[in-house]
Amino acid sequence: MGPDIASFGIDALLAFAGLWVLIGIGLVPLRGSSMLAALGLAYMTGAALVPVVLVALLTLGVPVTLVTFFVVALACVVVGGFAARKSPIDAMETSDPLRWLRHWRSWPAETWVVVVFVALVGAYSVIGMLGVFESPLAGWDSWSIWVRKAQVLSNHDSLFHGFFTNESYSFAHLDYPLAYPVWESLHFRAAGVVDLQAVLRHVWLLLVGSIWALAYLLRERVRPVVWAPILLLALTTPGISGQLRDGYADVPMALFACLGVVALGMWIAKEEAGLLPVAAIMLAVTANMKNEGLAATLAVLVVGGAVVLVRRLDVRSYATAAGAVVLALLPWRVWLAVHGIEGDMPVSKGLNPGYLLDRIDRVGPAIAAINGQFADPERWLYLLPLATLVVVVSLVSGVGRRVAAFYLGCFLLIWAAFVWSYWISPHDLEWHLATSVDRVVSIPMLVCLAAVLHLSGLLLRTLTGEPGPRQRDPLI
Amino acid sequence: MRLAIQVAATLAAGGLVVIAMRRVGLRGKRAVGAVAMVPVITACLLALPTYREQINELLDAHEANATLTARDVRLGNGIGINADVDFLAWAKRHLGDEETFGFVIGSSDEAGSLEQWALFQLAPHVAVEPPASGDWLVFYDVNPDEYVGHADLDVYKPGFAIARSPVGP
Repeated sequence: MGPDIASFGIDALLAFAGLWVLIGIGLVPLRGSSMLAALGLAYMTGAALVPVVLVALLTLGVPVTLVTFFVVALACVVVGGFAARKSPIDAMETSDPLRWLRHWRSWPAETWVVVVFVALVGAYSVIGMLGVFESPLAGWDSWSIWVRKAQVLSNHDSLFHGFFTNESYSFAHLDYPLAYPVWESLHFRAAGVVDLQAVLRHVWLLLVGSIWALAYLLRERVRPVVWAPILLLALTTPGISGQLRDGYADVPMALFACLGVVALGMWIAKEEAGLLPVAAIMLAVTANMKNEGLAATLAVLVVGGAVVLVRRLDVRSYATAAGAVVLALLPWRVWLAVHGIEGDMPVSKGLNPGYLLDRIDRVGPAIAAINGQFADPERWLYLLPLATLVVVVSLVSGVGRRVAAFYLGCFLLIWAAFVWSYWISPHDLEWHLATSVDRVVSIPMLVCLAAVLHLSGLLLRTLTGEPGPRQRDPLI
Repeated sequence: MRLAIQVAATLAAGGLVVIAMRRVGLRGKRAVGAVAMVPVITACLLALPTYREQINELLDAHEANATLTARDVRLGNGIGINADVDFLAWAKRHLGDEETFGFVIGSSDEAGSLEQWALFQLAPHVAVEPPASGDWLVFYDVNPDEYVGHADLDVYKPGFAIARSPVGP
């Protein structure tokens, strides 16, 4: 029991650190009920930011131990607290933070929607935790790549050359970024043991945390009657929750990517301070989890940049955020270059027309396989058709057009990047598709989820005649 | 084709909603906004049965996990690919703190998978290339006699053995 409590203590500290980051950037007010509501986003922020910082420290040769983790978490709290020192504290709420609970009889219908959502998600989360609590890691990559690296990072305080530059372990994709195994290794270190049954408990928290975080991010733009059923659908979608239980990095990476895309989409809609740093943190960890995450992050940054330039949004703020993301992915890439570690994807050949033409026959099957996954209703429950509908309607009607263009651009560029990766891959295409395409589509599918959530909310506002973002912000 | 049909059907549903809204007197963007009902209603219809299915799956997993032994948890992935986990455990006991090993495996279709598992089970000891450069040589389903000079070859069963490396690190 002790090791379990200690490893959940890591999650609690990540949430605490993330909460103060959110308070510091002004996204969460210093108010009890708001901090409670933001706990999911706080956990995801801490689980994103702290491992990214630890990966950077590892590449600089700083020993990463539990002490280093505590120092980084404490730094998040101190910096967040310092930035928030002028934020007002709600005095009334401080004296009675749960006063709203006493008036439950007069709650509007939408509050009841939230209550039912919280009850359903709460029950699902608890039962899910029971389901995964003793689950061993059965997914091949989960132990052969991720836990293997986490184990090395638990046993050594540095990027142990005996492993990370060792040809014997090349099958473990030594070029893959390290945020996910670093996050796993923190739990192993706290528990004092590499326990194959313990990993999924914490991975499950990422799922619950991300759903909670999306609800928090969307709460003021999208009515609960829209986000509650769609998030409930996302929570139970077999492509997400089923795949998550394999222990691979793909779904956690896609969850962070979804949060980053939603935060960026919402910033594009209204340029609210605080959203851009959250987007940057989420995209930074996405790029630091897998190479697919790096490709997706770059795609999102390119599309976001194009929208910012075309619509003349705050270029300086965007450039700062995008620069921070690029800065966050550099340490690992530089470390790889210094140590001569290369991945199996011939990226430099990927722009060579001759090389591409020689392999043109790989494009059709790759597109067919990726699109076949999108069309699998058993796994993805029609997320792509629903996203297509809201994007097309938004683009045609002008309701949230720039946001729709952003989501469409992200989806298309990520899709193109993934097709390209199969195109240039040196592996046998049939094998490569069979072993990866069902996981690779996680990010584009969660971009679809982001589009459905955000754009449905904007569309519903026009139906009910509420002042939409355009009326508040003439730039939209 | 299936994706195209799904997209077309969803767009048609959106179109029908707009037409219905216009019939009841909504005009312009308000009628278009009603398209938001399509994802909301679809989510309501799909979420509840999926929710129930997933809950059942998780409860089944909980029940199945209760019967797992510690050996299943630690070694189940290796047992699943027919790795000789008992030999690997025996070999691991020979390795001292921070000692390395070279892994020599016979050629078979499963050699790659077996090697990945073996290196996992033998961690935190580190495998090295070439095999002879480690402290130990671990022979898995291969004739150790091909590797001459192992005075202290310790045989677990034919083809499975461990020996001090003749070269060493």
